[in-house]
Formats: sequence, structure tokens, C-alpha cells
Amino acid sequence: MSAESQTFDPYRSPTLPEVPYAPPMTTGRPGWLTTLCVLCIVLGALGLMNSLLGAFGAIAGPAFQKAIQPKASAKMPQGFQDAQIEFQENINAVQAKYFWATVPALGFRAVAAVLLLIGGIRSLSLVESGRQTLLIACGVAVVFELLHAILQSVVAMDMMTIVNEYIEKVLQSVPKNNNGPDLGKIMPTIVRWSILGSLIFGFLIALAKIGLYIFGLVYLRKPHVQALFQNTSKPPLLSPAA
Amino acid sequence: MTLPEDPYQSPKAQQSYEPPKWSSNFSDAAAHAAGADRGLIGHVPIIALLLIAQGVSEIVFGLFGLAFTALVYWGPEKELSGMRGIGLLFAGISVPCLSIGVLRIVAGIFNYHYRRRILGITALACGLCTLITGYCAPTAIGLAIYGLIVYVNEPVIMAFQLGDSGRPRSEIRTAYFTRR
Repeated sequence: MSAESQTFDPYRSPTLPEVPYAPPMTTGRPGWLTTLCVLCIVLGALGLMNSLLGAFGAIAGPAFQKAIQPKASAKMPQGFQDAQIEFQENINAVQAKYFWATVPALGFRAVAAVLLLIGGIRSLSLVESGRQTLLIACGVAVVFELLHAILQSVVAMDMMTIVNEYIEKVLQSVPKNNNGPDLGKIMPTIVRWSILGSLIFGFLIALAKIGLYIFGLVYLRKPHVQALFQNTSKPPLLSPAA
Repeated sequence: MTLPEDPYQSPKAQQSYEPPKWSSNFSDAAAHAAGADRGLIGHVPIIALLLIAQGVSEIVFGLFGLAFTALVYWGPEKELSGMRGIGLLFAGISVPCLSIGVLRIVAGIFNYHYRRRILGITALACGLCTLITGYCAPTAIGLAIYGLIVYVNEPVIMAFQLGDSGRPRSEIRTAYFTRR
């Protein structure tokens, strides 16, 4: 019975017109695949930005640091100023020491990021070459994350030594206050735990990313997921049929 | 005396049924929605509001950065003149932050009405550039992941098509949320 032929009943909500049911055309893309692709796209974009910023830092880092560093005030104790200069020199020395390890790491990161970005976007559109690219990207990214975590921990250990030395020198240059807390003991502990905390946080993030990439490697090889990419008679993703 | 009508008889429904006066294309929208899964359509307003909130926070950060730059250049305190390098850095970060903040707010307003999905995706993607501020980075990353998952959902794409074709938000929501 169509709505127009019905008698009027004020207590009954109006019915919507009956139309022949036309099932919507869908790609049938599972939610897990969408989530994996989106995460890979975002991580790829972030990795690419990180590589560009890292390359800028490697090329122009010391000069840039010098340009933006606040000028030492004349009121500052001489020991403090010397400690600051030495600290900066030591940081630059550590960066120079690991330069030939960080530059290939930046390149490695950029390659992994581009693969993740392209693979993620193309897999979202259920293109088979995109799935293969994403599989390669996940493999490359797992290797990168493992190597990068090792490099980061080695660099962080060197940095921790430099920061501890700097804190000690700064505290020596500052006149002691006998009534207050013993900063000579508290400050190195705080600094040590801050660096360790950031290192642990970095490891946890790396672990989560490795977990995601391994999930991607396993999930993208499942037969029902592969079948989605083999089906060529699917509507385009970003403009569904009206 | 005869009454023209029997007062004890229930009134006869003689009026013909008139369909409710919704917008002319509501039937089409309903027809789409009737066969469609509602997917993540309910998340679109949440993302739109989060885009606006993130945009506001980025604008606040940008204004703070510009205020700091102004302070180190024109402030009365002579000690601050040594921080002009940082002031320039802040200005360099603040300008893109402000423009991305405005983009997010505009996209959020349109997306709230299920319009301009691509603008929303652009705002989410450009928003990742605020990573350099550190301040907005975690929320920007979270919002980008959540937003992209929702915006590539097929019922959401369909709802945005309805919105872009001129149907008001209330109709789209009614079409998707009153029928199962």
C-alpha cells in the first residue's frame, strides 16, 4: 500500500515512500584494513616530515642553534657561561660522532615513510600493487624501527653523560644555599630519569609501531584480504555509486 | 429537528493523505538511507567539533607565538633582546599554525553540516604540520587517525554526498538515524 492511498490518521507517524530496495554498492573493505591503511598513511606522513626536519637539522643544525640561542647576560656567572658553551660544543661533538649513522637512518626512514604513504593510500583503494607496496613498507619499517631504537639508545647514553656534566658544572658555578635542598644530588637524578623516561617512552612507541607493522604483514597475507584486492569489479573508493 | 450529522458517530476521515512537507528531495535521501548501513556517520559531528576545538587551540598557540615575538622586539625589558632568535622561530611556527587553525575551523563548520569532506581531509592532513610545535602534536595525530578512519567510511561518503547536494543536516541525520 502506498502512502498516498492511505486514509489520514493524525495519530500515526507518516510513512516514508516505498521504493524498490537497491543495495548500496560497497567496496566491502573491512574496518581492520581501513584502520591499518590510515595508520600507515599517518605514520608515513609523520615519518616523511621527520626525515625532512632531520635532514634540515643535520645540514644546518649547529648554525641554526647558534642563531636562535639566547645571548648570555652579563649578569650570569662566568662559570655558568663557560658550562653553557662547553655543553653546546659537546652536543655538537656527539652529533658529529654519529653523523654517518644518522644520515643513512634519515634516508632509511624517508624510504620507509614514502612506501607506507603510497602503500596505505593505494591499499585503501583496494589496488593489488598497493597491498604489495604496503607489505614491503611494513617489512622495511620493522627493520628500521629496530635499528633506530638501538641507535637512539646509544646516542641517548652519550647525551646523558654530557647533560650530567653540564648540570654539575652549572651547580658548581651557582652560589650554594645552605638552607635549601641539596641541588647537587637532586638535579642529576631528575635529569637522568628524564632522559631514561624519554628513552623508555620512545621504546614503547617503537614497540607499538613494530606491533602494527607485524600485524600488517600478517593481515595483508590473509586469503580473504587478498581476495578483496583480486576483485576487479569494485566501485572506486572515494566516489561511491549514487 | 434533525441534526446534519450524527454526533455519536466517529468522524469519517474524508481528507486525502498529504505527504509531510519536508524538502523536495527527502524521499531520495530516505531511499538511500533505507538500504544503507549508517556506518560511522554518527562520528562526523564529533570530528567536526574536535576540528573546531583543535583549530581554536592552534590559533591560541599562534597568537601566543606572535605575542612573544612582539614582546622580544618591542617589549620594554632589555633582557629579552637576547631572545630575538627564538622570537623569530616562534613567528615562523605561529604563521602556519594560525592558518591551519583557521582551515580547521572552516572545515569543522562545513563538516558539521555534512559538507566538504575533502576540505575536512585536507584540514586533518595539513594539521599534521603542527607537529613542529610539539604543543598540538599528540592531539593532531590522534584526530588525523580518527578523522581519516571516519572520512573514508562508505556510508559517511554517501552522507557527505547528500550534504553537498544541498540537503540540510537534520534531514541527513533523520534519514540515517530514524530507520533501521
